[in-house]
Amino acid sequence: MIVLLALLAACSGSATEPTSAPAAAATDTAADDASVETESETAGEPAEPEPAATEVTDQPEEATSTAGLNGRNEDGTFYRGAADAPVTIIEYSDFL
Amino acid sequence: MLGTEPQIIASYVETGRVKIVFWPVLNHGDPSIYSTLTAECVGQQGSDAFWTVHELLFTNQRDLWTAGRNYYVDTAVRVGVDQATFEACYDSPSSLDAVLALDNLRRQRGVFNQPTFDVNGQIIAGLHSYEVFADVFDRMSVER
Repeated sequence: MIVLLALLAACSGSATEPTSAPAAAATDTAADDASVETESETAGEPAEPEPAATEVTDQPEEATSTAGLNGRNEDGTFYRGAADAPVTIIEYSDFL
Repeated sequence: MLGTEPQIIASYVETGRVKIVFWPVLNHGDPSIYSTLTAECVGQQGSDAFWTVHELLFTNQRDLWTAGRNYYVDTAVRVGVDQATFEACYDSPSSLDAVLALDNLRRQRGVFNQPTFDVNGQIIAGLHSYEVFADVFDRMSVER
């Protein structure tokens, strides 16, 4: 009987543990406000659409990969690449 | 050329073997004129910005058929140029003249279709694969 009671007590204890464990974890993170906030602001930012959207409007489009190698010819056209490159390709094109 | 451009840039432009020049062709009326004017006015604030907006305009080329002044101002702001300077340029008749002058000059050179490529004087008409351009570049590099 004692063994049975002990077994019953053990079983009911382990059944409640999983439900209480996440709750404890949640309060842990909430309690750790200062450290969690700074971490989640940097690490969690990509998941939040709002700050990302602000960044897109504020941030200029990415610079081209030839940045620093780009220039303008005397005739008014623009070039990308080394000014003294052995091969020049003129692309006559419309944006449409 | 936008499809093959990243490969050409990585293999030939960044390695100093090829220089790409963009020459505007205005074959589609106002949409051509004002998209090119946008590139010109962004470019006046920096060559790097020109190539950034060049890519952006090509990428969004569907929008350009119906785009108006506000669209182009937004585009310019997106690439990080000064808005007031851009707008002054965009509204200036002399900027428009510069764009039209380049277009007239390409006609005088006998270029009527786009895209047309002039590789060290060799004309290549129409779109081609990366391999076609690579062959020409390699041959030209050896010849020099």
